[in-house]
Amino acid sequence: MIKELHEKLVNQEITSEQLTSDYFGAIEKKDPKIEAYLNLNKEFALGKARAVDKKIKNGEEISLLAGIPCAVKDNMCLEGLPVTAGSKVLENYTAPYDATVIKKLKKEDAVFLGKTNLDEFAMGSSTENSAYQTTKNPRDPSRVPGGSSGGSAAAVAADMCAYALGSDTGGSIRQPASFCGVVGLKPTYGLVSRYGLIAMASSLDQIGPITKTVEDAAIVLTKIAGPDRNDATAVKSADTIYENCLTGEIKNLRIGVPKEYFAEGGLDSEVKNIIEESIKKCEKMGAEIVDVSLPNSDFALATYYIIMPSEVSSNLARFDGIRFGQSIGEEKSEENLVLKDIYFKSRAKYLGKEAKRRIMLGTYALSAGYYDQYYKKAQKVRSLIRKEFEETFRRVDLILGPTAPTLAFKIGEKTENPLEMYLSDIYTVTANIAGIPAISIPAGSARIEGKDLPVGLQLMGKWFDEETLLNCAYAIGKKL
Amino acid sequence: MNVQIFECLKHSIIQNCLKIQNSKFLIMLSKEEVKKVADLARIEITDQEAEKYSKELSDILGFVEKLNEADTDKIGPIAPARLATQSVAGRHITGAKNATREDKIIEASNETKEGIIKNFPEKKDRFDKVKAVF
Repeated sequence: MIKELHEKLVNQEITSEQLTSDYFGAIEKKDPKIEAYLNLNKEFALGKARAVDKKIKNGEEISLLAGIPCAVKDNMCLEGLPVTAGSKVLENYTAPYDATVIKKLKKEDAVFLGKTNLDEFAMGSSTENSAYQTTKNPRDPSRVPGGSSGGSAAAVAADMCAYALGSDTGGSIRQPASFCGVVGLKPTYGLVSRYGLIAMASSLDQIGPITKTVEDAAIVLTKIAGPDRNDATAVKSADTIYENCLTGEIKNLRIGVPKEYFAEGGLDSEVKNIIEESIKKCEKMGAEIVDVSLPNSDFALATYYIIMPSEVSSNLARFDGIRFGQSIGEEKSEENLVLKDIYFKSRAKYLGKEAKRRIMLGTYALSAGYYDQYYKKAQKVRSLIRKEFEETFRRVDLILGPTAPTLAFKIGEKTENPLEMYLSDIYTVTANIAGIPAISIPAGSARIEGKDLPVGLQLMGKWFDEETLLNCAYAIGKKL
Repeated sequence: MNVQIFECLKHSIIQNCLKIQNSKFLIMLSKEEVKKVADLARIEITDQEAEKYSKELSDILGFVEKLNEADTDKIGPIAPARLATQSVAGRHITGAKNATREDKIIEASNETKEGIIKNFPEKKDRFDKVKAVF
């Protein structure tokens, strides 16, 4: 889709200004119902679009992403614009600098339409934890779009942007992509800089694209990947042009299918059937399907629910009402409050339920006497999981399975039971725990209550081997 | 009996006993413990909230008890890049190690500096104003 739009722009069949206005028109029409966007930057976007049009008229060469309108999850900083992370605590906050991914996209002359909804601080699987609004699934508005990047996935699915950026800590790009029927890529930990992404769990967070097609995901990845002096984990040199690796040829590729992912009881039959059909299609295309076993993956979700809240408790300590964000001090200036009161009362009032729950859990896990029992144990199990993948990737090139165990669920269905909501990430967290890249692509849909609900297929690849991952996803996408 | 086999058996019996113990051992965070944690986390909570957290956190802690079934005797924890080595114990998640850069200050733009100051909840001139510590 991006390439086609680019061609049209270059051939002057359309202008970026027209394209951008059209997207704003679509947003005006559809978003009151979907509620994917938290805020729009109309003037800013149209100004950029006109500048690109001028470049084209002057015969200047433009980048593939130039003049193409995109959406950004509202936990990434865009200088001079509000960034809320879906939390009340940042309601009045304006980003004083650009995230590295934004800086990179600005260099490509990208047009930013606005910022999309998310679960507060990216903590959730449905956007129901957003302090502002619940985004609806464009396929069936009585259902969730998934989360936490639900706003970005819904915006792409409902044609309210050409592509979007999301972030993925335990499945937050892939699970909403699966629920909304779009492509979502979580790159290898360390391929894309996290600078300017409001941190949730720093050893797991990664930014990635949510797009209509695998080719689009490759194009965006090429532009946002690369080392950054502001993120010590972003170390891989950026010389791969991922869209050039898409041959669509997967003959003799060895694809592992873990038997644990298809165990009785854990997986919806609709999802299971569609994934099994896809496996047969891969075989027909000449790929070799290999049965593998990942017994330690069974520990991934438990590992995640120690490591993630521990890192959350540390990262969210900065929201204390002192340097930025909402503070109780302003409204209660007449009361005789001391510094400590500002911390306790500001955090109590402006942080949401799930954020507090995870801070508490992490604080407990890291507190004196429990560190070895929880955090250190979890980091050891993480080594076990990593080792298991290392060994498995000696036998296979990729691992294939479902992205989520269920179809998009109803709004309100899981809000009362945090643990049940957490299970939604059972297949996706493993990639974050192991640091490997993973992608969700639409594999089909199941007709439920008169609506076609998409099913996502997940491929996981070797560390920094996005080429093989994207190429296989591209091949499957073409065949389905 | 061969010594090795004996050791193996002993190990598995102990592991099984631990498993049984763990599944029977219901983790319960009391309201008082919850309040202590909230104090450490600098979050004011009500009695009612403490009760709710006590149940929710106990549920999650019960779930993560599963980790005790994993045999981690012979493996080290995943390490941050700055401490990572190439041995099995203490590797970084992507195998990265020693990410270094020149220790050079890069000045932020004036817009960024002013933006940071604008975000202060309370200020006096260009200073962030805070309440008294005591």
